[in-house]
Amino acid sequence: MTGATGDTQRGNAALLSVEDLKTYVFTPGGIVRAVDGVSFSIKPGEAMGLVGESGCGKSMTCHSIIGLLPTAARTIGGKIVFEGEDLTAKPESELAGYRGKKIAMILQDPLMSLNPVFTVGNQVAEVFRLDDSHASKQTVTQRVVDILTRVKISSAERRLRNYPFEFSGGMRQRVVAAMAMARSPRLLIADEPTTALDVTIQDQFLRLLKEMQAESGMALILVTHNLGIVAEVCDSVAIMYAGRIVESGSVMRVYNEPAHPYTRGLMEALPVLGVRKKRLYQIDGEPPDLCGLPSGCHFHPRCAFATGICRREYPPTKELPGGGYAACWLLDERGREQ
Amino acid sequence: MTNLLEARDLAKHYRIPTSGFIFRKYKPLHAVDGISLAIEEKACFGIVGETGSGKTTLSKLILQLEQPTSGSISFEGENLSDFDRQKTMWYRTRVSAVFQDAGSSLDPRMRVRDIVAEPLRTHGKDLSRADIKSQTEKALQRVGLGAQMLARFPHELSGGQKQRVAIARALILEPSLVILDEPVSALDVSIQAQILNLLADIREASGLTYLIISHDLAMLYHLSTQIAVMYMGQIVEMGDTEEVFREPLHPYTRALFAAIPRPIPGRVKECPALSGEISDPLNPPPGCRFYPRCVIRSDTCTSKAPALTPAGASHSVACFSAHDAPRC
Repeated sequence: MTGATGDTQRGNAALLSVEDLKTYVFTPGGIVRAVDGVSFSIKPGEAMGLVGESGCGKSMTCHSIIGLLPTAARTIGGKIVFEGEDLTAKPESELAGYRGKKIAMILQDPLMSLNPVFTVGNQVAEVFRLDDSHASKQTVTQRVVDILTRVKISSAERRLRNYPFEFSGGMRQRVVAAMAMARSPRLLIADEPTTALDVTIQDQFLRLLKEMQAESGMALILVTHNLGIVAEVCDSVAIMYAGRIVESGSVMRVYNEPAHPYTRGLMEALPVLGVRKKRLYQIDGEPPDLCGLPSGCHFHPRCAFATGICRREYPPTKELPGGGYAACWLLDERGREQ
Repeated sequence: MTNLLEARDLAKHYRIPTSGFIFRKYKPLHAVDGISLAIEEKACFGIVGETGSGKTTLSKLILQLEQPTSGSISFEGENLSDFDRQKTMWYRTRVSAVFQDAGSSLDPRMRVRDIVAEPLRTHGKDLSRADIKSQTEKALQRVGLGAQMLARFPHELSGGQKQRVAIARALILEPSLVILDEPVSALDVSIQAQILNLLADIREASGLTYLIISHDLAMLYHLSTQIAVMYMGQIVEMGDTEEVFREPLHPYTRALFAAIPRPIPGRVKECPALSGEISDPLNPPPGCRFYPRCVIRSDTCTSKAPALTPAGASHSVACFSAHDAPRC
């Protein structure tokens, strides 16, 4: 699969392209194939949603890109090409130059990303001092106030001296966003940034995220399990299942004409405000254990359309007429013959 | 239809220490502040609210895990505060609960069969072992789990299976009211649909009454017959689910509806995001609690709190200028 870009045409060269990425976790219980051949690409300014259920490898994909894997996990194959350079081939010392500078990340729980014993102003200032260690205290403070105002923290001068616990959940996440945006990254990875927030606060944060993206022209990878958020924020979407991308394309195409049975199932399984459903469509069974994946297509035990070939072989990724890609035997001649 | 459960002017205030060490100073926190509602038999009553709106405190009051500061709850026409020990035990067989995180509401050291059978052992007086065993198996069957689950421990189950065990435990005494506190919010989308369908099937088959507490409006729209919207311990809007969703009246309800991300690409949000955050519960604004975030506020709102007043056949709202808020 070469692109989850769909029909967004903002720039021709991809900012990031991930090719056949494989990240495995080596545990005493066996090898967990957390990311098992993931490919996608993002253009500058594009917002891509990475959707999947827990344990499908979406966070592991992001941590592989930024090079912050847990010790038991290793990227054992594939390429991560960012601005023309393969990050998997770079030594740790060079990768550090990318982290935070060119690729920034926002995590789910802002309390985990902020240090409880330093003031918020101190922590944001640290980011600026990384680039300019000789800057005067006044300039740094001014920059901190500016960036906090940009993420809509009111009376920022006063709030600088507050500690993270004195901020509400929504404000903490905005502080984290400010730290991520401080060095104008080219790519922002947001891993479930609003899961801990209430809907009205989530709405505020997502609007801010879109605004910042439009202003700075950075690309965005938004990891979430909420298909509603993707529809609102993203241009393109990639659906992951058991370590692989099963379908990708523009949000319009994927939502209006989902090609993969899993994508279709997810859309139908969702209660939607204002759309009366007598009964929700239900994908039976549970996501597979990544230690002992089913043979053939990983989705076949839960798929209503599974045939013999689905049990034997993983389906090839096919380009779809409406744009985007999907990996399902239903889209292949060999599968249809069955 | 008769009302199964009624709450009248229900309030729960907690005393929160604010300053001082030896001479502590306390402030009241109005977790639930003057709630009146009636849950009809066989209804599915949904309560929606954000963090700190008091929806969980309300469920605790109904479950008698907390005693109300003022007001009363009546069940089948009888006042809960008049119940003696025996009556309370009876009440606990009639009302049960399923909590959000089945991972922490199931005892990790008990096997599934003991977890599900525990209510039977507590309340069922002289059931034989064989009876308990067969009823436990039947309860598990009802939630779609096979007999091979009986000997397992919670950590051997997936999230969806744990929630099914919690539902089986809640149903085993054949209660008339089940309180579901965020029953699916910890689960994945595909598992959520399974549990929601299961809950709907059980209600249809056995004529149960549900009280569902959630922040997920889409889920409540799908499942509930009546809905109440809570904000800072008060109900701001209540009515038939269809009617409230078709014509939300309170500015908070409208803003909440607009804030829900919907899986419909290309939908343009016209109205601005709801500004600000929920007020400090220790220093609630005088008058209407929603005043600081409201787009249609007027001077009356600061001095007087609007009461819940009828605004339709089966619809009521607590706002002086309902209808006026922008909709999108």
